[in-house]
Amino acid sequence: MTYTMRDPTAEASPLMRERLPPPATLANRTIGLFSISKERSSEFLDEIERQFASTGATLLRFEKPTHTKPAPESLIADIIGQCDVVVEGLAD
Amino acid sequence: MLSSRRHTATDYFAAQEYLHSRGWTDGLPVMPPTEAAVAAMLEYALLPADHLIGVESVRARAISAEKLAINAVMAGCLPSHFPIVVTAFTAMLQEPYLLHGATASTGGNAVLIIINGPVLQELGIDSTFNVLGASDRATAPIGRAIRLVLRNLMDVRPGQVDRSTLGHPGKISFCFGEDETNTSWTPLAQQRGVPEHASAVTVMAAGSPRQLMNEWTTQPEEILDTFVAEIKTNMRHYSIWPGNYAIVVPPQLRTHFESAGWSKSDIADYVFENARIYRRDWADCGKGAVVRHKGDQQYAALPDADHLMVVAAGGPAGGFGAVIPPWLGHKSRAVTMAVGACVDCE
Repeated sequence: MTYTMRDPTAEASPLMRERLPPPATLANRTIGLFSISKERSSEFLDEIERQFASTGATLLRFEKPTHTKPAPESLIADIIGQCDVVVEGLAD
Repeated sequence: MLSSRRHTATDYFAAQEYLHSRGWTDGLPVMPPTEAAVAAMLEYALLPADHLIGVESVRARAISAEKLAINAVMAGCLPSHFPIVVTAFTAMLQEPYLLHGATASTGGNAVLIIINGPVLQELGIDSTFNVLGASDRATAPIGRAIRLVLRNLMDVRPGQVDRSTLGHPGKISFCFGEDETNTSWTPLAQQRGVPEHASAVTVMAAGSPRQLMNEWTTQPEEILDTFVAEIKTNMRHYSIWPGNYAIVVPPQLRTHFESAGWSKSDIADYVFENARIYRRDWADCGKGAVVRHKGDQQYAALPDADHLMVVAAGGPAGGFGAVIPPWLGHKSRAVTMAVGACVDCE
């Protein structure tokens, strides 16, 4: 007996976008340090900030209101508008 | 009229391999989702195939009745089970449940589904022996249907959206009904605002059940001290954050509460007052590093007494009970919804 079955998936086709190439140098660039607001993520990003201090880049800090929900679109727009590179992190 | 893509298999076994090989099952055999079987689900629930159940907000994914029905067929549901599946997933799509966060988290939790109302008898749901371990024809496939829906419609597969470090066995299916027959207690759904005699579903992002035993007292306070100790253990060993806890109380322990005139609200008040730990208690179980200067800060398991869900269920003999802890405190909240309720209707 042949079975004709219906597709159980969402049948969605996610849009895949190419990642931008990394800049050749970080000098005079703006780096966003984006905390996802898990406990001690600021501590982690503080260390990243120290390590980036000698690059000549401008460092900006951003933070999600809570790690359990996606960042508000306005926050994402801020990051896109101001930064050339983003480091997003981290947790626990 | 169904709109989902068709797939063909030459026989029953080929159908199993076809579905398994695409990652569309949980590893157990499934019922092939034929057009007739899917249509029967929709017809029973009086839902058109393109009826919009809801939209998962993080991934902007619209969920249709047809897609739920396909997965319910695969899980082994009967058409009469389908309204429960629809209600459970509709409840999960409500904002307080935090569907994406709860299902993607490394802190593996399962969707606990608790059923109340006349539908318990209509579906032959047995809320007594082995209640937490799939005790009847309805609860196992209903819980499984929700898991397959998450897999197939939300990509909540291990290693994809599902980032659980461990998960727990309830992720296969974690569904049971409250025993409304052998108790004088108010049913859970009624306590949570559903009218009397309406069938309802409560969903909760839940950790694994923690079984306890106290057969050596008849005093309600002493029995509850055992439940409280288990809750406090969870707070020490897993998560300190307050949220919904469910406790399951079988008949042998229930008798002592009911004889003493204790209602579910009395129980919730006692647990709310007593299920508290200090942050310094973490130092006793290897987590001293995160006590820091906050050692004297006290944490309650429940934001308020209403966050405790007391459920009557279990076999007649044995002084056992169970605590079912939340995934991550109040980040996800339990949601109760009447079967057949329209979320957006005025």
